[in-house]
Amino acid sequence: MNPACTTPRRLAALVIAFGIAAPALAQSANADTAQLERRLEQSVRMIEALTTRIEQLEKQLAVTTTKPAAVAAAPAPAASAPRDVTARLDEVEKTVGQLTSSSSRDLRDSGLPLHGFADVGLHASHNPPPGRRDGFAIGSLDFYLTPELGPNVRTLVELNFGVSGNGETEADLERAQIGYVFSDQLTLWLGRFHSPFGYWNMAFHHGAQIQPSVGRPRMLDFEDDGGIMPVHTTGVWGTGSVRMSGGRIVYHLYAGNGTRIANGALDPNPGGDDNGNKVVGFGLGYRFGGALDGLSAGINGLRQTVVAYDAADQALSRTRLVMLGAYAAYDNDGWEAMGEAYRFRNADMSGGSGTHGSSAGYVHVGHTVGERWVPYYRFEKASLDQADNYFLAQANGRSYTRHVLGLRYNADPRAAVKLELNRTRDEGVARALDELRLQYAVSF
Amino acid sequence: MRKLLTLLRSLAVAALIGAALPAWSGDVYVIANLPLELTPEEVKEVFLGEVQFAGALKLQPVDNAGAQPDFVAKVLKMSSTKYSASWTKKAFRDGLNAPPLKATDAEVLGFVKANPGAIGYVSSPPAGVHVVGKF
Repeated sequence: MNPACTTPRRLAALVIAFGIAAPALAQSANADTAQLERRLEQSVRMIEALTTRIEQLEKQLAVTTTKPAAVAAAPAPAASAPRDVTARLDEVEKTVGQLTSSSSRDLRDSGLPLHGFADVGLHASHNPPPGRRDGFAIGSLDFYLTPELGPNVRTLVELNFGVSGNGETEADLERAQIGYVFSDQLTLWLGRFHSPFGYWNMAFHHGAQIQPSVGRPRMLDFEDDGGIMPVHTTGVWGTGSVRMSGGRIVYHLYAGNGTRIANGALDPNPGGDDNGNKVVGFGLGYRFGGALDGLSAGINGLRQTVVAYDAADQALSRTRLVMLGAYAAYDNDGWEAMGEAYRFRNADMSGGSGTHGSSAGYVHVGHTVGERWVPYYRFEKASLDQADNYFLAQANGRSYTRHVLGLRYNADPRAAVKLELNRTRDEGVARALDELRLQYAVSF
Repeated sequence: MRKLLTLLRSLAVAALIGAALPAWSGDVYVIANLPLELTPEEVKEVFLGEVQFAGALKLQPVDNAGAQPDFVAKVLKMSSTKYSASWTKKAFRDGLNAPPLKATDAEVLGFVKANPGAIGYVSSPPAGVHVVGKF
């Protein structure tokens, strides 16, 4: 299309052909070496002539591209730019321009940006709790859309489909957030979003393929899976980052509907608050650059009053939840290492039991071996005060330790197979639970 | 002896030109519609979605399929696979979309010329746009 591009290709083809042909000629026993030398010199001269011609064409193209008005107003002299060459160059430029502007072809994306994750797998356990089913199972199908409705308006909608233990399909509107980007330093989101605390909850969530292991740390399980932390919030969230000399500071400030506890599980109240007690939280992190690229660390905290209800929807207790956390993560050079720690100072607002301290945390380490294999190990531990109404009212609000050993195989940049063994010791349960989990996860 | 010299000479010419071709095609020119002054680290942040604005101007990075391997290796200092994976994570976490992917230098030039906030990269010296840097 562009003479400046095609001519070098012809030249390259000529040179390669010449490179192949010349040795063949020389190898012939009857070849006339003098004639060969003449041909070689002719070829070199031809290359030189073509090179000169390319330079001339490139100069002409540059002139017509940078000063089209001047060219139109005052045609170049015939000696330096023949009329037919100028016309051909104009035609080529016009064609290229038309192709580019008319197609604006995007090889990566066409139409509404729709992405997603899906996973399937196998689950087997030893000493399972009552009601636990083993065998093959569908994991989840997670769609998310990221339409940009203008230079400053962003939208993120995530819809997750899963299958319950009794085989029923469940759909959750995981995220529905609409934001306005004022600058790199401030984006304001409104809607339902992943609570911006810690590392795992922000980085992986329902993205099974990008998640380093089969399952999440138990303390960070989703609310409807028995998680003990409010990992979703419906409200307003301001976030942004500021560049520093050695990296970037990232901040989060948010407020939203408070969480309640019903039927032994957290409910983030996405459809409206059960009372006037709002959650407020913050996060402050630092992403290192340069030699420490891939390293990040931060702190976070939240505060809210949580009411626990019984089956008849009668309030059982009120607890002021205060959670502080810290994290560090390194994702570079084949390493995938992260750790989070949380400290709770929860005050009993409905009884006289006072303030209770609890803690939870995990450390996860994985390393890529031979490009595709990633063995990993994770240790989790939660020490939760059972006199604290916040944990007492939750079915999974017990102390535990868990060891996770796994192997991930990246079959493709968008597909991973993970095999994982874990052992969980639950406080108050006599025997440890051993599990084997296999997961095949993709992103699209 | 003369035949051997001829053979060596032929091979030398072919090898020299063959060696020159990859170097000729490996340069990457980062270009922008406006005269932006960006360090390599800032160019990296733009293409990884960390920076979206230059003042009030919304930046529009655009990828070039033909020059992408050289660009991600020389400027972003990562593999194409990791670059793609980083955008999978970025889109999921922050709701951002990866830069549009154009097929050729000409398409990237057309895009950059047509959009004030556009920033892209090409494999040959461009005309009519601002060169942020050569790598």
